[in-house]
Amino acid sequence: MTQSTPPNTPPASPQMPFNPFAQAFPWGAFDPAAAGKAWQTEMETMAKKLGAMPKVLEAAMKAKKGATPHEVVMTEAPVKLIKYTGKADKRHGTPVLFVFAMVNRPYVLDLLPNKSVVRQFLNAGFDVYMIDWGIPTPSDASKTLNDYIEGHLHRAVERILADTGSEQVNLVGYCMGGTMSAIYTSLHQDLVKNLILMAAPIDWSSRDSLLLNWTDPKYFDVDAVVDTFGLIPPQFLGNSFAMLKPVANYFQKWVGFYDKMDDERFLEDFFAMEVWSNDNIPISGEVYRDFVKYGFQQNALVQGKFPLGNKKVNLGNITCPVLTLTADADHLVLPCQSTPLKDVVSSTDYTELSVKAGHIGLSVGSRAHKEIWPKATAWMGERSTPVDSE
Amino acid sequence: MAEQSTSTTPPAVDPITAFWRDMWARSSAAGVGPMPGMPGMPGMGDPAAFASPEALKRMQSAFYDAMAQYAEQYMRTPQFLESMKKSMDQAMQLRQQMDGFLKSNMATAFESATGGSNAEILGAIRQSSAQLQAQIAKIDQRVNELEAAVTGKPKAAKPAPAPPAATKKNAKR
Repeated sequence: MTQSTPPNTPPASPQMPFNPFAQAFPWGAFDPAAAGKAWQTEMETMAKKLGAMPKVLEAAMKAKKGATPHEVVMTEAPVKLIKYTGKADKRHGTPVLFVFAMVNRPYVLDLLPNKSVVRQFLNAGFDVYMIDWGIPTPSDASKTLNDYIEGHLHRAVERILADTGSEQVNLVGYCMGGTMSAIYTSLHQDLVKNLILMAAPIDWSSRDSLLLNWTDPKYFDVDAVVDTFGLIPPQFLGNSFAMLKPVANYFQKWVGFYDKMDDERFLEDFFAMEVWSNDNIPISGEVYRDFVKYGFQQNALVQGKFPLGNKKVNLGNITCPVLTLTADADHLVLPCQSTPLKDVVSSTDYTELSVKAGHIGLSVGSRAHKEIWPKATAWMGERSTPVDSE
Repeated sequence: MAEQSTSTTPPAVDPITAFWRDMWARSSAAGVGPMPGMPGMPGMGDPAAFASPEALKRMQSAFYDAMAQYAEQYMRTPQFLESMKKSMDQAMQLRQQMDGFLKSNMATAFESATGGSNAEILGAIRQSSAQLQAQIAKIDQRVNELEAAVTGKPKAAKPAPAPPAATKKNAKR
């Protein structure tokens, strides 16, 4: 049986080593006229892209941090408690408190007017608060997870209860903030009405996550790192996250940018995201030590062995309704790290929702805002105290 | 005694060749046919298919997917983890040397406190603060118990009033 070959195909020699570059070139398809036309088209595209440069610069300058007006209602430097001000009628008496991770800034939950989780809850009729952990200074390097959860977070909850007259809050925790919210709820179940966890790591037993491989105690001495640096540098954290997807973050993103740089809507989204993703902050060394050692390395939380101050965290104390949100393409917190929560809490009202998105897509993705957030706000609304009965 | 191999691992393939083959397999799956004479790729693709922008996009995407997969595989290997550990060790060594230098030379030269001594002072303040808070909590508990003993009813478990806040109105941004 013979195999037909195009006229310009160089003769194949069984002795020649495999040369993918030579093999890949479509000899048979080469047409000088078509190549010239393609070259011309490419030049025209390039000229169009160059013409878009002023718009690119304008969009870069216009990028903002957060979209919704707010006021700071409590400050414990560097931590701030923010209250969002919305125009929608208040329909629920139980306020919502967002708890974000400590490794990035929380305004990703309110990135743009059309991509704001905060606005989803405001428009559903909730009072919305957010705890901003701020930018720690060297004086915060020795603050532990216990200081943040039993200190700042607990006082923020008390402040919200005093301000609103409510007896309980609804907690929405994202990523590491979700883990902190689950821990807080297990310690103060009486103060939490409903708990929503967004891509929150609870179980670190799966070896599928790259981060778990990188923090293997054989290769990563967290004690030495914390003792040396005190505050964990933002560049270290930012680069680690970017390196989880090097091709996407260092190549594909910029190819995509070049393709769409003349689209104003795309530029607005792109720069809002770029500003946020480059706004890395340091993290207290002691918090980092607690999280890496007892979470990543010992998987102590689901086993009821996670130490916090002089206590051990028991997630079995959680009895309130729980909604776990996961993103099926999340490379940072795999869904299998969040869903084991259902086996350790005592809640009888437990729900899971998943969306086709990545870790950040869960808060800024169009699909998440269309599919997940209307359901999540409705879920919380059904389980919150109506405003009239407060 | 002859050693018998029971491994089912496929024969070692040069990683670049493996990457290249994988990319073509992905291109193939994405609708771009394999090129004539590609080893391990029987059949022949339509040469015209390579000229269309859609096909080039699919090839580009297949290239990135294959590259991402191989990068991830590499970042799980002991070689990578070892090199990561070495980089961390070097970074820590550098930091320690810099701290040591600043502590011994700069502080003496400028008669100023170093970052290290600041951290020590702050650590001591924090420790004292934690001890004070614990003592206050104990006193609070005693007062509650005494109140309960005097009035005959336990104090309602109301949340404590929040500390005075530095309230700042944020202008509409």
